[in-house]
Amino acid sequence: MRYKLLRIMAYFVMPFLYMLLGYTLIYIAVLPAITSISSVMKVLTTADEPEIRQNIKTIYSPGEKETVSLQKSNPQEEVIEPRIITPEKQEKTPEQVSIAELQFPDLGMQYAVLSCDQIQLEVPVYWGDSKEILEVGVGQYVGSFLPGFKRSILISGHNNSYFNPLQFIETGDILVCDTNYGQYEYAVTTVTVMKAKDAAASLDGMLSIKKEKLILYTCYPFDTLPVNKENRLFVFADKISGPEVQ
Amino acid sequence: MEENKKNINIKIRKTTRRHISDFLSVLLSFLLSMVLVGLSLLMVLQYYCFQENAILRALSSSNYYKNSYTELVNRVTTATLPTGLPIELLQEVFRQDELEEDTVAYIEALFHDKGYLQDDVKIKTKLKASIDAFLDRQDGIEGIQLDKRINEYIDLLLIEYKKAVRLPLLDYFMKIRKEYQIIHFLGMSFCVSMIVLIIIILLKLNGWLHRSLRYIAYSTLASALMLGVVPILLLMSKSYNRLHLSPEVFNGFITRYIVDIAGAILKMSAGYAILSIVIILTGKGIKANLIKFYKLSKG
Repeated sequence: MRYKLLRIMAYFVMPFLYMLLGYTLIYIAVLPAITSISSVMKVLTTADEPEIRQNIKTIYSPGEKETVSLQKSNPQEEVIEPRIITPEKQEKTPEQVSIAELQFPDLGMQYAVLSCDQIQLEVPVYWGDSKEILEVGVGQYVGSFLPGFKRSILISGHNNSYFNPLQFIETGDILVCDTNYGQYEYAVTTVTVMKAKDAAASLDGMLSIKKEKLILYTCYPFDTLPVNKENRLFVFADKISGPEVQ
Repeated sequence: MEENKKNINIKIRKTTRRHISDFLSVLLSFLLSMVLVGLSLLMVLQYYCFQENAILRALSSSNYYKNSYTELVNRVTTATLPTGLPIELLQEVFRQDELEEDTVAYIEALFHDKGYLQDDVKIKTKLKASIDAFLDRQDGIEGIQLDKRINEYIDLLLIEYKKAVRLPLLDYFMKIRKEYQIIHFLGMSFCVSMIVLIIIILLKLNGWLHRSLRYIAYSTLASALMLGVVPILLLMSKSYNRLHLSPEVFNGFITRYIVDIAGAILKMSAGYAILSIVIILTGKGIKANLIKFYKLSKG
């Protein structure tokens, strides 16, 4: 009986011992290459499972909105004034906002919505202007300033997608930039076409303006295959309301 | 007295010979298990990893074609947006089923050692027709400059399509596959000869067939364990999910491929376990017959 039990145990113990010895020999054989293999594996792997599809994030949280269908102003028709009601925002939108309360967006984050009821424009605004961002919205040049800082805000977008309505914009139209810390309104003062290489169209020129100006720009002309991409449509708008950042 | 001494000496010699033969059998059995593991890995590489069906199966089950098509659409959209052309122009030009067909054709061409020539004419024709139809609807915009830009744009889209069709690193994979054929031939020859030699020596060393089968069973069981432990640990820990390769669609395919290979090795391990049971039962049967025969011959 004992002999039989030993025989049966041998069918477990012996293969297990062979396995241990085998792995030991394999480990000794590959030991010289282990450092290189582990360096390669560190490059190819992450500590945790990678987020394969990282969606563009948002810190923008819109309040309740009541939108009214609008048309371009026409003396023959009744003009309906735009109304955007954001009850929570109205309580939280004083004349000033402390910089400590601001949540600065990271690159690739949505932080606002830009709208203009006169031209049916309503687009998400992202921090950064990479090609990935311009596919999903309009992007702000990171060297410019956020609304409320009394400096230039440069926002770009593709002319045949999100900024397509800009072809209808006129002086006097109101652009609304709805951020997480306040709502800003800008009145369009100038709509002009310039060559991208013009000094007036340069970033340095735009950023050196010492007052709060919303500057939108996109390729020009609209809806055609341009022979060259030299021209840009610029929309300049001055601030009319919105909290200052202290 | 002298006869007793003689008998004791014979017994000691027999016992020593028996111990030596047992020790050698254990060594040979261990060697056999290592050779079996090597043989199995060579077979998995040749008859699974480097087979066209394994690649195609992993591509299907990892949704590679759908993801690759989505990536292609993203890239051509990015290329189209700055031109001012509407994205709708591309709707009927790039299709998922055509991308899948072209990818499979590319893989088959590589595996059968044929050059792959992508048929650009169809896509070029469709694109040109779409763009011309669109421009006809606009105010007349003509000129050599415009034609040049259109051709540049079409070439750019064709490059993106080619990138989508060609599975990354497949060229290197095929080179490795080619080099491996020699290793496979030599490796298999060596392993098969070693297996035959070891079994013959085991039979000669032990005399009784059921004893030799016992040692062979230890080897096959050890091979089953050695082959099975790593894939089981890999599939349980899912550490292959920490792989981070680019592009993303390729990452999904490689992960799936690794899981399939681990599955194939596990099947080999299960095969060895079943073989071990067969060998053990055969050994027991042979021993039972021997005992029966011995009892019959005695009485």
